[in-house]
Amino acid sequence: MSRASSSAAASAEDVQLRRRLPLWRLLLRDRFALAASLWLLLLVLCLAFGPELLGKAATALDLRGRNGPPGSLEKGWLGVLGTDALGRSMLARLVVASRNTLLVAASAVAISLLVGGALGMLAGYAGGRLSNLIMRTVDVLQSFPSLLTAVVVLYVLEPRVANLVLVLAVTRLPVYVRVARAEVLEIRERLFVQASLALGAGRGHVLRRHIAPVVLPTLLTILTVEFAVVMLAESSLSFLGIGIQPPEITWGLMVAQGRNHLSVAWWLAFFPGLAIMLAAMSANVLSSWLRTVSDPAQRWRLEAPRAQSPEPQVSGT
Amino acid sequence: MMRFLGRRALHSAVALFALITLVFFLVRLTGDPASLYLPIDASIAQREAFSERHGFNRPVLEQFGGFLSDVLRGEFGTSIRKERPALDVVLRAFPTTLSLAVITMTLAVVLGVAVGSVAAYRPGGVFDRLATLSSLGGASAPDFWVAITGILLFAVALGWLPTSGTGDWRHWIMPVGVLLLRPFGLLVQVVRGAMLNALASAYVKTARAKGVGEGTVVFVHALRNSGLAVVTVAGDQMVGIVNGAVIVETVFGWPGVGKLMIDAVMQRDFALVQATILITASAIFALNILIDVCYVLLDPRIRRG
Repeated sequence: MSRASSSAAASAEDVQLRRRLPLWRLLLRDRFALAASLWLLLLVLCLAFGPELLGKAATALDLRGRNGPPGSLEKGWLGVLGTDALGRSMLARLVVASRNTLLVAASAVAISLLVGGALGMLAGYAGGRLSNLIMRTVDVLQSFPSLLTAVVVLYVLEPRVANLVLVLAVTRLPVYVRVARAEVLEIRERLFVQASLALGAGRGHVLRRHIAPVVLPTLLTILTVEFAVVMLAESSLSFLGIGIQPPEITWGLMVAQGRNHLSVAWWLAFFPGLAIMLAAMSANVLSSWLRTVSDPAQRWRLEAPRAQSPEPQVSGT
Repeated sequence: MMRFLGRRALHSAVALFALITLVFFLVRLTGDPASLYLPIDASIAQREAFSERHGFNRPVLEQFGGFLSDVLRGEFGTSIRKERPALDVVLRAFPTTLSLAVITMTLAVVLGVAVGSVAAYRPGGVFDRLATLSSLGGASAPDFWVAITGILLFAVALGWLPTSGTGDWRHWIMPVGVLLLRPFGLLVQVVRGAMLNALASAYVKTARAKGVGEGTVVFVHALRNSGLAVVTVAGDQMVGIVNGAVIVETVFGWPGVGKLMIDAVMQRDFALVQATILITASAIFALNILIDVCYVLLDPRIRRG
């Protein structure tokens, strides 16, 4: 990773850049990351079409087939994961619940990213009083016991989906603000920003065109980790009975409901929990892959011809 | 150093004030305790007597003023449900949660650092893959699910461990085990990343060239540089547990602060909610200052910043 100074070295680097593999080829080479993205893709399909396709099967009662054990195809492929205490298909319920679970997490994360990223960039770029005000507010926000905040707020505001999203978004805001601010503080001293300012560009223009594009990839990497965190938080709240309320379902709520039948039907609580874990794991795998790809000093690990990467022998230069 | 501590303490005090103000008004929005503690057919006179006794009939701002001056004198009011001083109730539950947090984090740091550094020593090896996979699982598992699966397996099916409550050492295994998962997973990932960078650096090469033993290279030269990252993650997770290991305490019937808080909110026990939050928040602020002191001690560059 030598810094090219002469034009010859620069052109050599150009050739190397052109030979860089496209992102999807890199993804195909990493088995874990590939599996994670395929799983997430499947979940997205479930949330998009699941409730319409399987909505009926998820609510159809079958009082004779209560607490049917998983692994048997007697009741068709919908019964493969067993049936719940009212004889409803677990598989269908899992698919239907994916919409609430994933959409709540996704929208909370998106709101945190937009608001937190904007506030952080503002704090980093404006400095002074405004920055102080934003950062102190974030300090207070961060010192809040997040789960308890959620409990109190949801208790006051009624546990509706919109409130749940709002609470989750606000409690996770500090992460984005801090990261965005730290990045901006560093970037605004760089030559290309200074050059743009010297050429007479306005501050808003610089923030939009030069700073935001650099900060965004970092924030997106955080977003994938945060997605897992927020999904786990929503599941915990729903498990405690203050998140999504029945008859709406999420995976966390399904675990809570299954807990009452634990000794007779372990699968009621087991499969929803497994679904949460697999989704969170996939998000984590994808995020660490993204981090490696976007880090020039680490990317070689993925581009190296062998799947088994050799001992790192980075030269000191 | 003293100036740094003073400034941090001042910031914490301001944040603490904002926090208790917010909590004071928020809990009062959850509803009237009288309708929860008196029978449904209680007369208006009875309700008024109840409000009178607990001071809920005064204007809210007056209540707030009284609350603030009480707190400054070390008075936190009386818990409605337990009919004992709120501070008493909190201080009884706090050590339980704190010991849970300390034991969990000690184990997590020791295990996480050991596994992370050994994994980074041979990246891509069998141990590394196992460590990465288990850390990933630990960081992604929903704790309430692990807790009830654990109860099902170890308490119901195998009968090795008690399902809930406190008592001898066997009561600690499952709560600590469940709480351990996330900090352990995150620490392994962080330590492994930091060690990979450190082991590839020039100063490690120099140390090896000088003939320093491998053990010293890994655990002294390289590991010291991952200290900052370990403190960040461990501190953050410790704060999370002190904050109330609500889930674990609820599932395992553990009489700690987290369970106390949830119950107090649900039962509209205002004085108890305020006392719990004030005490835990103070503990968390103290912990945060301690973390910052660790940073300064570990990295001299921060002292100037």
